Amino acid sequence: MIKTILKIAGMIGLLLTVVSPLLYFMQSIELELNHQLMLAGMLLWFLTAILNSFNKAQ
Amino acid sequence: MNTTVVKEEAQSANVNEYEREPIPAHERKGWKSFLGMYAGEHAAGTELMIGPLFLAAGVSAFDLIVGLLLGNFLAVLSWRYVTAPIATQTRITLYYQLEKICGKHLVTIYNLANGILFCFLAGSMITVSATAVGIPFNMPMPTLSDLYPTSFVWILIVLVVGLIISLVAAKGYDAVSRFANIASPWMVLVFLACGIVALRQLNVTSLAEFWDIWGKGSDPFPGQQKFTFWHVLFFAWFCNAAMHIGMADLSVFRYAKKASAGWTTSAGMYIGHFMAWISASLLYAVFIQSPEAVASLSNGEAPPVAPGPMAYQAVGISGLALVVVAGWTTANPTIYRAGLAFQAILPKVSTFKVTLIAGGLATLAGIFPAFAMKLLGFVAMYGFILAPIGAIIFFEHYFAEKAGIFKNYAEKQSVNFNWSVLLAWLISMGIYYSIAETSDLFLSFLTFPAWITCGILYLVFSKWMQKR
Repeated sequence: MIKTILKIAGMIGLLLTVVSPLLYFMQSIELELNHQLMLAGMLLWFLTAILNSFNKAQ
Repeated sequence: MNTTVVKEEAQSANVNEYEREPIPAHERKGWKSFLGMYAGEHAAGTELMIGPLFLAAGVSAFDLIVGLLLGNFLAVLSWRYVTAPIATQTRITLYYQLEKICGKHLVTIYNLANGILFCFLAGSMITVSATAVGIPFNMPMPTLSDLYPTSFVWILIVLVVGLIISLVAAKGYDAVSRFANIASPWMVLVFLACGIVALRQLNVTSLAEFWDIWGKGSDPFPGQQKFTFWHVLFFAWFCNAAMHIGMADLSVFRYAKKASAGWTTSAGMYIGHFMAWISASLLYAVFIQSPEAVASLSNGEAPPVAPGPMAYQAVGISGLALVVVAGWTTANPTIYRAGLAFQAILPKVSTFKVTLIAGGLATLAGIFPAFAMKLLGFVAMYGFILAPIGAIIFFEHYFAEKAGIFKNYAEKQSVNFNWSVLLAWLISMGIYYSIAETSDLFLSFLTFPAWITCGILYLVFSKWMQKR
């Protein structure tokens, strides 16, 4: 269960990383918001990926 | 740039797996194992320098896009039809294969050349990382024409970055390797994000406007060499020449079930050496519209190429993290591998110490922006020097019987130094390097002629020396 949640959260992190610049390109969001969403995506991806690797190791 | 072999070799050195024996059947891997590895490994810190340097070389849109498409395809073909077939037939590392042909002492010379070149490459990655770390300190960024350190702050930041990378390489290689694997998918997407954001900042809304960014090309920036279609094609083909026609990736593909796994290198080429290079080029296209860059150009000076500030303005903190992580995760195994190469020469010195020596050399190189600012030329030279050694393996594998020479001569005759190899390597390099210098030719144009000449000379010298 936790593994699945971590995987989904990680995917959301990656999605944020690629979707927010697309939204900026389509002029739907401002550059600053793009920066913040990408930062959130980065933190989400690394946090879940690191937790996942700990999970695997155990 | 590719660090696949670097990491793989480093890992295998740690666990000492099949270094001196063929890979057994149960350890062989399908193509999917190679796809992810190549896709991630070619999105390195150096891509952030190479893209801008194309723009600074005044390349046109057609030359860049079509040159990269074809050049990368030729690189993939080289991996598929030169490296992978031999790797899946012999299933041993480059170093063990070379030892059988050249003898232990000559492999040591190859290792030394490899180690020094790796240090310089790692130095340019440290330079790239320093441009991101230096932002909060308001550090003046090096320009394209800067060969020497630009300020005391620059030296200090490079020293700190280099020290941390070297210590981690010496102490915690495995942890960074695992972190690099985690970071890979994210890094690829941030490269893509940089390109997308830069397109909006350049007001690109159609394919025609995208094409117009490079247009029909321009004069190169002050101090830069003009790049044509052929420069781009040959650079893309041979920037990893040491890995494909130079056979370093024998160490990787010896694990492949089939030679067709060589096609997976296309993931690395078209993500790292196409998408990432173009994205980095777009970031620089945005930067050269800034008042600072316009002022430099109007004064006849080359503007700075600073991946840190360029990525930061496009994608914020994620951009800074990209520059640091891409530089760090690729410099780390490069320094570690250089350390292992030096350890072959200094076997009594511990891995920790030789890695620190390699890290020290890399940091010293990183202080001089020349290695990063002249990266196109340096990478071309890196391939030019190491590729001919692969010709020795290729020509022996396919033509030894026809030429009437013994295979694996050094192993059979218990010699530590095969002069046929050294002479073929030095003469082929000497001839074509002289041609490049006297005719002012880009070195990548001569990598393939040097490779062929080295292979033929090796057969001729071997025939003559083995008879004696």
